[in-house]
Amino acid sequence: MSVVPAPVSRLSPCPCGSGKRYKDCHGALPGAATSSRRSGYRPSGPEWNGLPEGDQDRLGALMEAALVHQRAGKSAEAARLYREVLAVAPKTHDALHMLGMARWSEGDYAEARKLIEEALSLQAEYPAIRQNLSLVLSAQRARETNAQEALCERALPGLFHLLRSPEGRTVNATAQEAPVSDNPIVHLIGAEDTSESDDAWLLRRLAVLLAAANPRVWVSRRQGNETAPAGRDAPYPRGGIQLWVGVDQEIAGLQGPVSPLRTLVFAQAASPSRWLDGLRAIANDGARSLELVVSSRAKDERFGHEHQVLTIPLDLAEFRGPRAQRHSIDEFVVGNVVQDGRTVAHARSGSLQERVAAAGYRVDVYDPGRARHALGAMRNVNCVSRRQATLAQFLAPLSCYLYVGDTWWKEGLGRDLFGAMALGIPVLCPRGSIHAEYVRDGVDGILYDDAGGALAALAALRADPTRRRAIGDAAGARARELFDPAALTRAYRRLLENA
Amino acid sequence: MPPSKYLWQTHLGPDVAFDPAYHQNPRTEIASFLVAPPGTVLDIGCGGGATGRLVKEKFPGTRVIGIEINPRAAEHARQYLDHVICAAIDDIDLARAVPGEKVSTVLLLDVLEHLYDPWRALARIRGWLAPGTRVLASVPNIRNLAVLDELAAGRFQYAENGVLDVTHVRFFTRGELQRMFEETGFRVVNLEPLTQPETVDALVLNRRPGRLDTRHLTIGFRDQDDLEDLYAFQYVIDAVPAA
Repeated sequence: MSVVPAPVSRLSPCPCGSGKRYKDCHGALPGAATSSRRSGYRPSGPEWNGLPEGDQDRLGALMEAALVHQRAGKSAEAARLYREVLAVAPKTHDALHMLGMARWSEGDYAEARKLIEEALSLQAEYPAIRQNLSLVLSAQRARETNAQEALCERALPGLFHLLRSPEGRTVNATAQEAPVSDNPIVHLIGAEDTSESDDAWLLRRLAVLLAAANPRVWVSRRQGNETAPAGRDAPYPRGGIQLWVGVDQEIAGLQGPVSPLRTLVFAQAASPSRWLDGLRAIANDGARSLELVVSSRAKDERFGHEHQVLTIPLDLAEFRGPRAQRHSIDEFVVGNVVQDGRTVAHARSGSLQERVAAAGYRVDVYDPGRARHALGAMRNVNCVSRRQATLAQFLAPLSCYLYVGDTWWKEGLGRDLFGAMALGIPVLCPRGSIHAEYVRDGVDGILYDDAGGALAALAALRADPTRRRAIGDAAGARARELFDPAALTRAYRRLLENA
Repeated sequence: MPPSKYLWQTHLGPDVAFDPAYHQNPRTEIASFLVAPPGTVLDIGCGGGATGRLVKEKFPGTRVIGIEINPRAAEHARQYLDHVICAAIDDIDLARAVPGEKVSTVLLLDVLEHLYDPWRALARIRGWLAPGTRVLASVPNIRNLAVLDELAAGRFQYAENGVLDVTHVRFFTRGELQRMFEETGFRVVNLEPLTQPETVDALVLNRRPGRLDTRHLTIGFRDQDDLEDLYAFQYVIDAVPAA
C-alpha cells in the first residue's frame, strides 16, 4: 500500500476515497484486527487503554445503544447510558460530546456547554464538535435574548404614555393645537431597499397612496459610517408631518431636534427592544405628537390599545391572478411562504410545512431558504425561488394557502395571507396570529390552534371541493372589501388630516 | 424521508464515531431544485454517489452517469449509479466516453472550487452539452459573514469541511460566479443562496437596516438580498448553455 497521509482522526474516512475508516484502510496497524462496523465501538483516543477487553466490549455496546436512542429522539435514555460509560471511563471523549448533545436537546444548555467544552479540552478539536458547541451557545444566547425581549414586550403597552410630550398631545386629543399650516410638507421616511421586503414595499405603497399630498421620500443610506438622506446634500427632514416606516431608521437621533408637527410610525416587524430604542430616538427628535399606525386590533392591543388601526395597503391589482392557471379541482396543492419578505435571519421554522409534506400533501413552498434541506428529498414538495416568480405568480395556482405565523412581533405584514385571499384561495391561519381577526373562521378561511388542527383543516378542505370553492369565493369578496383601492386611499389620506 | 431533528446528525460528517455508513450525507437541498424528472443526469464529481442515489430515489427510473477522479469513490458510486467513469474532467471527451447518451441535466456539486482552472473546465463541459441542457452547480460563498468575521480577526483557517475546506483552491462571491459562468459560455437562469441562518446569526451583535456589527467587523449591506449573501454558505447556480 502506498503511503497515505493520516487524517486528524483515525475514524475519519481514509483520504484514498475508499469510504472505509482510515484505521480500517491505509491506517490499519500491522497485526491488529481491523474492527468492522459490527464489532463494537472503540474510542479513537487512548481513553480506554488499560481497560480489560471485556469491559471495553461492554462499554462499546453501551455507546452504540446510546446512539440508537439518541437518533430515535430518546435523549433521556441516551443520556443515562452515556453516564454509565462515563462512570467507568470519565474521559471518554465521544461520550462527553454526545451526552452534551443529549442535554442540549433536553434544553439544559449550561450542562451541554460544560460537557462539550470538557470534551474539547481532552482532544484536538474538529469542525463537527465546534459546530455543535456553537449550536449550544446559540441556543443559550437565544434563550437570553427571548427573556430580554419578553421583558421589553411588557413595557410596550405603557410606552406611549412615557413618550408623549409634556403638552400631552395625542391623536385623540381635542385640546387646543398649535396652528398647523394649510399644507405641511409630508415626509416619508424609510430604508433604501429595492427588494421585496415588507418595509420597502410599504414605503412604495405609501408613496403611491399619498401621492396627492406630494410627499418627500427619504431613505437612509449607509456610506461607510455616514448616513445620507436621499439626494445629494439633501437637508434633513424638518418640520412637517413625518411618516416613519418602522423604527429602524438611522436618521432618528442624528441631527438633533427637528420638531415635526406630527410623527406617525407604521408598526413593522421589530423586536420589543427595538421598539423601545427606536421610539425613544424618534421622540427625542422633538416630536410633538407620536402616533402609531398598526394593521390590526390584535397588534393595537400589544401596544396599549389606543392607536390607529389600518389594514395594510395591499394592492389588489397585484393579485388579480388568472384563475385559469389553477390546478384541476381534483388536485389539491397547499402553498406556504417560508421567508416572507423579512430578513433571512428571522426565517420561520419549517416544521409545520414539513409535517404537511410528510402527511403526503402536494406542497408548493415559496422562498424556502433553510427548508430546502428538510423538504428537498420529497417528491411531493415543489420549491419555488423568490427570484423566479412573484408572490402573486406563486399563489395563483394554489388550492389553499397555509399561513404559518410566528411570535407576534416577528410576524410580517401578511401580504402572503391577504394576497391568497385576494386571489380567491381559502386560507389557513393560526388563531393567535395578529392577522387572524381578518379571517372569519369557516367563512373566508379556517383558523387553527396547532399542527394537529392545521392538518385536520387541510384534510377537510381536500375532501370537500365545493366547500373549498365557497370559502375561496368568500375570501376573495372579503379581500375586495378590505383592500378596496378607493377606500384605502381615503383611509390613508385621512391619516394626514387627523390632528 | 423524515427530517433530521438534530443538527449533529447532518453536520457530524466524517468524524462520526460510531457508524461510518452515515458519513455520506446526500444533498437534499440540491434535490429541492429538481422539481420534475430530470432526464439523464451527468453527475460530474459524483464522489461516493450519495446525491446521485438521492436523485434516483426522488425520481425513480432516472439514469445517472457519474464522473469521479478517485478510484475508490468511483467504485463505491457504482453501487448506486448507472455508469461511473473514473477520470479527471480534463482527460475526458464525453462524446467518446459515453457515446449516445442524451444528457438533460448536469450536476457540478462542490467541484469547481477544487479545480485550479475551473474556467477551462467549464468551457470544456459547455462544449459537450446540447442546447437547453440544465446545469446545476453548487459553489461555496466566500462572502460568508463567518469567514469575513474571522478574516477581520486575522484568521483564515482551513478546515476539514465547509467554505474553507482545506482542499478548496478557488473562492467566489455571487458576482464572480455569475461572471465565470457567463464567460465560459453559459446563461445564468438563477443564482440561489443557501443559508444557514442560525450559525451566522450567532455572530451578529447588532443589526439595523443597512448595517450590522459582529465582534470584529462592521459591515454595510444594501437590502435583504444583499444581507442574504452575507448569510449564504453556498450558491446554487442554475444555468443553460448560452446561444
